[in-house]
Order: sequence, then C-alpha cells, then structure tokens
Amino acid sequence: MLTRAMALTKGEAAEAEAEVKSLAMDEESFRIVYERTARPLWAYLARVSGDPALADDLLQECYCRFLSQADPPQEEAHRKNYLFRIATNLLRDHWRETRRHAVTDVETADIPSEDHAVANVPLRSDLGRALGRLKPRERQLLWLAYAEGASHKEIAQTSGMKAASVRPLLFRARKKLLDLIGERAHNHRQEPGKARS
Amino acid sequence: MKPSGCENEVLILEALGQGLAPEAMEEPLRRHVAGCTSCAGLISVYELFQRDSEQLCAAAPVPEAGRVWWRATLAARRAAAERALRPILIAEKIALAVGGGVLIALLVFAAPWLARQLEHTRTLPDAVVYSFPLASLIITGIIVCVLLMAGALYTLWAEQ
Repeated sequence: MLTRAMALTKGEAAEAEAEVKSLAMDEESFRIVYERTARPLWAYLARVSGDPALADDLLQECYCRFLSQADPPQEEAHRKNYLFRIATNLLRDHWRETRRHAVTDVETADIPSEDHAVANVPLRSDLGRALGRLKPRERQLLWLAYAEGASHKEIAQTSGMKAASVRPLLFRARKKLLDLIGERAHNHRQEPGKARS
Repeated sequence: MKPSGCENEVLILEALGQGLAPEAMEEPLRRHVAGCTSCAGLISVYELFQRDSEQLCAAAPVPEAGRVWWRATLAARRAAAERALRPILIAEKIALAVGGGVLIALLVFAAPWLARQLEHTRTLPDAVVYSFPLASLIITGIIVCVLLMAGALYTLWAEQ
C-alpha cells in the first residue's frame, strides 16, 4: 500500500515536472520577466479595455499563453512586444465575443462606471474619459505610441496592421483625442459661468 | 500640414523617448515646435500619456508572479490532458461512424429478407416455430445496436 502510494507520488511528481518542462521558461526566469512587464501590460489592457477586472483576467491569460509557446523571444525588447501582441489579440478576441453576444457596442463603449473599477486605480482621469470616447483601435495606437514609446513598425507588429497605415491613423487618433480634451476643458470653463448666471 | 502629421515628429519622439524635456531639445527643434501646432500637440499628448502610464503602473493591482505561474502550470496540464484524449475521441468518432454505417447497411439489406420472413410466417403458421426466433433475433439485434449507438452518442456529448 505504502509502495503504491509512493509510486503514485513519484508519478505525480514526474508529471508535474513534465508540465513545468513544457512551459517556455523556469519559474525564476518567469518571475524576472513578470516583474518587468506585468505593470505596463496591465496598464495597457486597462486603458484600452476600460475595464480593470477584464485587464486582470487578460493579464493572467496573456502570461499563460506566453509560457505555453514553444519558442518565445529571448531578447527583452522582443519579449515585451510579443507580450503586447498577445494582449492585443486577447482584447480583439474579447471584443469579437462581446460583439457576437451583442451586449454592448464595443466601438463606442465608454469606460465603465467607478463601481466596476478596481479601487485606487486612477482610470477615470481626464485622459481616461477622453480615451473612453475613442475606438478601441485608436486607444491601442495611442497607448503603444505615447505611453510605451513604440515605433510605427513595432505598433504595426503588435496590432497586426500595415506599417504604412499606422502614421495616418495615429495622427487622426491624436487629433481626435486633443479635440476631446479641448472640448472637455472648454466645458469646464463654461460651467462656472453658467453657475453664476 | 499633412494628414499624417509633421515630418519632424519622429525626431521629437526620439528626443522625448531619450528622456529629453522639450526645453532641453536642440535649438532648431525647439524653434520648430514653437511654430508647429502638430508637434506641440504631440508633445502635450506624449506627456499626458507618460504621466497617466506612471500613475496606472504604480497603482496596477497585478497578481503575484507565483499565482500566474501556478495558473500557467494548470493550463499546461489541461492542454496535455486534451492532447492525450484527442486520439481516443477521434477513435470514438470513427467507431460511431462505422457502427452507424453498418447499422444502416444492415437495415437496407435485411429489410426485404425481413419482410419476406414476416410474410412467410403469416402464410405458413407451421413454419412459425422455425422462422420467428430468427426474425426476432435480428430485430432484437437491431434494437440493441440502436441502443448502443444512442449510448455512444450520449457519452460523446457528455464528454464534450
């Protein structure tokens, strides 16, 4: 009985070891990669999706997919782009699924209300509100270009669009964002006047 | 201004990416920014995103690396189990298809013979002793086959 239990434990240990070996890297290397990339990746997911809870889920799924790859990039910059590409694909899959179930119109989906947001995460800043009025693709482009400092080529690789299309789309998105922020600032200036009159 | 922005944007983004403040940029670039609305807009958007990114990263409630690692291990285990089960599922589907084919063929080929047997039984009451057990055996066989098929179909459905 004891021998059988020991054999079972040995078998389970071997199985667990085989599972770990099937992952792209060992736990310690993963920890280092994770510490360096998790926060920017979460910020990207949260800003583009507008939903911190969804960002949590997708972040974990993102690393699961990354670890299940047979040959993930070894260079740090490539690895980061690769993770952002997985995140972008996951977001796209999520929107496709949402569209299929037709719960909300994701193209014009606004940032969820504060009730849905994780506490202490400043999602509803002026920028957050303005981004919430842009299309998801525009949010992606803007975040990758200006928060992550990605080049047009890197953005094209991450988002799966042509490099030549990035520049005009980015320019239009930026103009739209500035208009929205300007409109908001203008409304703010108007409000005290209204209150006085 | 072009619909895709100013030509100097790449240079400005490079400078900003290196951590240079707009005031610390080279003189020609600074003079250009002062007169170009597109580049001025670019700088304000860049600074806005950088600030926002810093705030979000600082407040990001990311789970511990160990938890994500554990989840990845579970996912790998599930994937391995699915890979191991795939040939069995394929074999089950093949067996089901073959079984279904055999049953249909049997029904098609045995139908005239069965009809003849039943006719024979009706016209020759003495022959009932010989033909009835055979006919009933075949009918029972078909019923068993149908039940087995239903069981296999249910098992496949339950697994999926």
